[in-house]
Amino acid sequence: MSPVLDQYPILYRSELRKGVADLVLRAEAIASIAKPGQFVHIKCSDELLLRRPISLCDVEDDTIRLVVESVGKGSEWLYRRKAGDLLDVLGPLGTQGFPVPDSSSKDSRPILLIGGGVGSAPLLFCAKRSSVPADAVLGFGTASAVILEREFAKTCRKMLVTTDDGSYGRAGFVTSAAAELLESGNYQAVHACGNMSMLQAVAALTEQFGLPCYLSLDERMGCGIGACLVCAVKVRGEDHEEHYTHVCRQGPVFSREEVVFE
Amino acid sequence: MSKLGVTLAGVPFKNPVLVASGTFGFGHEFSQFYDLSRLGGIMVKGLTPSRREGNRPPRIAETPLGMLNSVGLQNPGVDVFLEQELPYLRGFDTNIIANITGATPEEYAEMTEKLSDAKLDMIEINVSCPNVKQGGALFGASAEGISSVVSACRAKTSLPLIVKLSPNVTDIAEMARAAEAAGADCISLINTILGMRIDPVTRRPILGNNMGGLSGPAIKPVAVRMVYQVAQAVKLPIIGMGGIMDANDAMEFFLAGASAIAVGTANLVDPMAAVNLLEELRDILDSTGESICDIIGGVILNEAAHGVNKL
Repeated sequence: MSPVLDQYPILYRSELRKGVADLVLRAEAIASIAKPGQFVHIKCSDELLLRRPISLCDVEDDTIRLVVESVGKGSEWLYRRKAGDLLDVLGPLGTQGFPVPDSSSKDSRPILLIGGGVGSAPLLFCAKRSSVPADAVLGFGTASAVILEREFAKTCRKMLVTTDDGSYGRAGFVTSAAAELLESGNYQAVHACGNMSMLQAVAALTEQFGLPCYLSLDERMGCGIGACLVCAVKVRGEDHEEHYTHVCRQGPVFSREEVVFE
Repeated sequence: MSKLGVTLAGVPFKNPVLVASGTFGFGHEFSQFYDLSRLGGIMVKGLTPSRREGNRPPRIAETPLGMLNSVGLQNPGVDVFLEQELPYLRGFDTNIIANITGATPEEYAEMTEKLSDAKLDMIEINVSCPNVKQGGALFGASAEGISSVVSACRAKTSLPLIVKLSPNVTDIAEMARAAEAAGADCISLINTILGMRIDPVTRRPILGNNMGGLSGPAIKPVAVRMVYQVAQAVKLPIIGMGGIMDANDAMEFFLAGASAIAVGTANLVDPMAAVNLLEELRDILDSTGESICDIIGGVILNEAAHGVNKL
């Protein structure tokens, strides 16, 4: 399905925590075709030239939901928008999202979702669209960084939160909590989104368990539609040769076997 | 000819709005948004003799009203272009311009020969890519370099040759004259301006390749100035580019002496940018009652500011 370029209003805005906004936009043309793992590309003021890619956290009826962490000029502008504001949005983008089991899937084994920080957001869309039970492990730096806990708990069968400093939930990285679930559960696949070092650890873990694993990657992006070739990531092709492909068009989700960690 | 029609080196263009090489791929992505036949022409992604993987990421860094890129000519190679991409592009009623970069004048010549038999309207010789170690901007940095590449290509084709000049030179007019003398039919400018950004925290350049090419509105005044200088220096038609976002930007280039313009970075921001600009341009011409040819080179210069000079 072709992406759409249009202006969409913010219906609701709340804060998940200080510095992280939760925006719900009425965007039927995007909502009707969006799939888990896809993203939208948003113009953040006339002063900033480039659009900013934001993952879809959820899609309900004619709305799309975006979780925006204020980390730079573009995301800070977006974070400060209010209900009623119009946003210039291009999307949904990405041709390869999370291959979440749907009603046509015969495999009834559960899936495991592993999220790091704000990277947890797109996994909520996975959990909601999955036809099989989803378990989730969400990792954050510290207690005050935790987001979306209640919603994952409502949607998922099991849910664990970890913090690096042990100030909330389990102490330590997501991978140790995930390993426990993988030991006891009979999962069909793992879907993950977070920073590159977390994804590398998840890739190593799932390889150990011999499980399919899908990773949502991030790279500085230009056009978002596959024309400018800037959001390059190194992948291993079917010929086992390493080459550059692009997050926006061929991704943003890649299987563990494809990704070359550097 | 319609109000928007122009002729460059004997090649008719239905309108003077082109899309710049490297910002438009081979057109597929943009055809999701509009009929590519609306464009005056498409300058395809830069081609090299064989496939190139491009530079290590990150390949983009935002700047005030601009961006740096260091893609490094990632492309499938000229043969794959001819077999797989050109037939698709020929399905649209628009001029198709191949863009080529070689490591040596011989490589440029070989590519020109290959492309000469293909159904192309023009070939754009890129002597100005700042992101590759060999060739590219190396040739564009001197009149001798430009001359050697353009003469080598000229010997291999009767297709009109465009030379895409680098702004990273002291005297742009000298470069244009070298291209003209070596047999070029048209000049396009400007390519990106070499730039750099450094992250103050990590103390490392943001781009994986350290330096990259600056584009976008930030470079537009430099581009307009260079188009004006080249228009004064040579008789060849000019395709102007550099930070064009809308029809008023395009008007600056036409007035400075460009016979056509190319939309580049704007394509990355708004996939509809080129055709939106075209409609705005049509409105401008409708309101003034002129055709585009009435505008080209029509800048009205101010008299030298004597008062200031006296100081």
